[in-house]
Amino acid sequence: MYQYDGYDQAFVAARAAEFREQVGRRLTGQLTEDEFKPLRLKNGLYLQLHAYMLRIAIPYGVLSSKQMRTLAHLAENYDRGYGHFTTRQNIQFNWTELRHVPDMLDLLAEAGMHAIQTSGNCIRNVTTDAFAGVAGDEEVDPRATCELLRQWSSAHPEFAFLPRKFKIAVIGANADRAAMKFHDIGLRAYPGENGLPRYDIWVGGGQGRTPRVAQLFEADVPFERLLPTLDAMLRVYNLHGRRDNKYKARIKILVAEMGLEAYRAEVYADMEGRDLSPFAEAAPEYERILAHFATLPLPEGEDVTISGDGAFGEWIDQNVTAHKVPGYAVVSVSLKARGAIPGDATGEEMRMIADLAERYSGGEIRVTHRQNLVLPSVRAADLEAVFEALVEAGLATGNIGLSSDIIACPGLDYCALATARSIPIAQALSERLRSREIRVRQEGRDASGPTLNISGCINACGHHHAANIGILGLNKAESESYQITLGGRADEGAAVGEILGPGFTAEEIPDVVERIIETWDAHRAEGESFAESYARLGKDVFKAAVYEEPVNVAA
Amino acid sequence: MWLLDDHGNFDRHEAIDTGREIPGETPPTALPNDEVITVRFGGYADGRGFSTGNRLRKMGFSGRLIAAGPLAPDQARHAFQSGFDAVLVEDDAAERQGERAWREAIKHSVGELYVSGIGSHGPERGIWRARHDH
Amino acid sequence: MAKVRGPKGPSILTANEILSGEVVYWSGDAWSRSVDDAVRAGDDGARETLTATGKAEEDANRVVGAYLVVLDAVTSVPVELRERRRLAGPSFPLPHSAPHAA
Ligand code: SF4
Repeated sequence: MYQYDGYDQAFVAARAAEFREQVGRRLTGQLTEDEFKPLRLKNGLYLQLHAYMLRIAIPYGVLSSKQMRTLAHLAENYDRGYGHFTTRQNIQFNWTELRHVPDMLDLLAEAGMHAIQTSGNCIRNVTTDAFAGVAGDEEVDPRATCELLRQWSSAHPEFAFLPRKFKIAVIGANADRAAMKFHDIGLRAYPGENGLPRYDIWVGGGQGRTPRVAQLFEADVPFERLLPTLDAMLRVYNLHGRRDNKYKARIKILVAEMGLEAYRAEVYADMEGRDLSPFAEAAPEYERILAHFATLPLPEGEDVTISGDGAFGEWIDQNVTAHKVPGYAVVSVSLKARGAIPGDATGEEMRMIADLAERYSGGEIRVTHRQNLVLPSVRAADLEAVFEALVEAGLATGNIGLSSDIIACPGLDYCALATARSIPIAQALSERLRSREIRVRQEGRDASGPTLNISGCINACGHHHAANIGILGLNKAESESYQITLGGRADEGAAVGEILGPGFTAEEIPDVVERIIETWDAHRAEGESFAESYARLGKDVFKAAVYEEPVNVAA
Repeated sequence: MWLLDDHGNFDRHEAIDTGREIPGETPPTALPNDEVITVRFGGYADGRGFSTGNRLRKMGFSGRLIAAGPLAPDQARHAFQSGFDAVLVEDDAAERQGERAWREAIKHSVGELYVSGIGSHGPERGIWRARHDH
Repeated sequence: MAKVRGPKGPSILTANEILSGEVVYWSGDAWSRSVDDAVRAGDDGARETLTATGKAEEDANRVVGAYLVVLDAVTSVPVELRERRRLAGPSFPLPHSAPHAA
């Protein structure tokens, strides 16, 4: 994995020192809260419902065991013993104190980490496929591009006060495991000449109030033109993106209002005649970075097939994925145990994963956009030992990709912008769905089901638009109401879900979701996924099932 | 009025030649022949002036470029690195934000960048250049 | 900046302490962690005074995000859902180091 050199180290240390100094000026009043707010946000520090929250970047989702231990240390010494992994490959600490944040940043810098641009109207943490570098279907490892973009965008002088936040995702396989088309800019890397990739550049995707699937900006862009094109795309957005209404300020609205053709023309006009010497070192830099990601010299194991019964069998089927090297496996660790808070992990659990990674996975961990963790390179022969250790820690839930693998944002239990809670909804659903999955599996049937995502407000951090079943918490006359959308997809067939009908109370949601799944079961063709069935059936059959008879809520 | 230059000098002046003033949100479409241009930023969080500075340098504007408006010391490096020569600071802002904060603005901000842009007057050399241009 | 949010009614002044970020309530002469200490403004004049206090306390860099919370005149519970949740805290036990059920 990527290791900081002296330059990177000095860079994050300088940023931490700069923030310490800014906090000092805030406390003496030289910076007003209005001035300090964009500065603290650019460093991931929010004022949430109950306290300050610090959001730390996990660039492209890659963590070393040592870095995970640093996170555990922060959780235990500067927070209340736990952290929350988000849908953007970040981790959030919910109970930090402003006075401690400079020290936390110093500790992070020592571990080669930072909170740079995890918030604010700037280029955010670049995200990717959590299986990057190990997935069997991968054509180009997207991590080198991500690191190149991390460096280019960090402390970028011109694009630090954009109309709104800006999210970039990169993938290098046909399967999209990073919801690439729901980003402001999405890149699909393909193999190109001389070991340098070529890219399809997508623009204008996003969730929030106006969900949009990205459009193709330009196909097959050679590596040399990637940064010049992104530079011009950002500049046109910076100059022309709307600043009068924050709900219309994302690039998706600019592209929709200008039209893709006109936007493209502006971008090419900006590129015209530019001196590209600032990007002259991009190719050698890419090669330097790529060398860090050279596949571990994994001793080739024999290609063994592991199977098992009971919980181990389920875990193998759901949580273990093929590795590109025979004899190895990719192990997902579910943070979605029955009744758990999606994405939350205690310091103790973080340490335990760090130890397991060190022992069995080359000291490397991944964080997924579905709020789980991954041990990317485990020898097939070690799977049973890893499973045993996870059972011990209560982290062996075999539900990756099943419906109980729910995404949920923090919602009104933590978030200052929320209109309703999302975590208790996820907890209740997880109880109900997990029981169903175990029962169905015991009956020897297929336990797979729709993806299920929950957001606590229209900002859609819980990606509800992109789920087969999306749940959006709203405030109706000062009580919580939950709206359901169906048919959304985050994968290569990206689609925005459709609203089913009037909202429900929190208590009704488990029954409603169960009815939707039962209706699907009843109409499902052999081997069909929920998204496929929905595309074939449309929403009426689900609507009838859900609204025709009132839902009985147990007292 | 105070002026911070790209060497970190921060001085009070009775009169400053601000040349032609243009709003940060509208970069000129043709190369201006003024010797001095002042780009007025619309607000603290409005970064359009940085791109306007960049566009002017791209067009080949080689005169003096001044950033004005409600900027904080923390944005000084953004201005220099986007091609500005100086930042104009009103008296009341200099007083509230602190003369020292302005004088030390460059010292306290992240000085080095990975990529140094065309026309940058910032302190950086560019880490990529340092890594590869031996 | 302090502002009156939502409906009118008996109000209390809340904010977050600048250094710790903790939720605090104005007791009349200081900030308290306990809502029980909060002074109530019953009429427009008193509400304006509280709003001004919030602004002054922000300007003195002791707190951030000061605003008035409107209570139900009968039950004394905040009228707004958001404020009820802010007052009650997270609605589940926080994760702790005992492992979850598998
Ligand atoms: S979706 Fe809304 S409630 Fe959930 S984290 Fe984002 S802003 Fe907060």
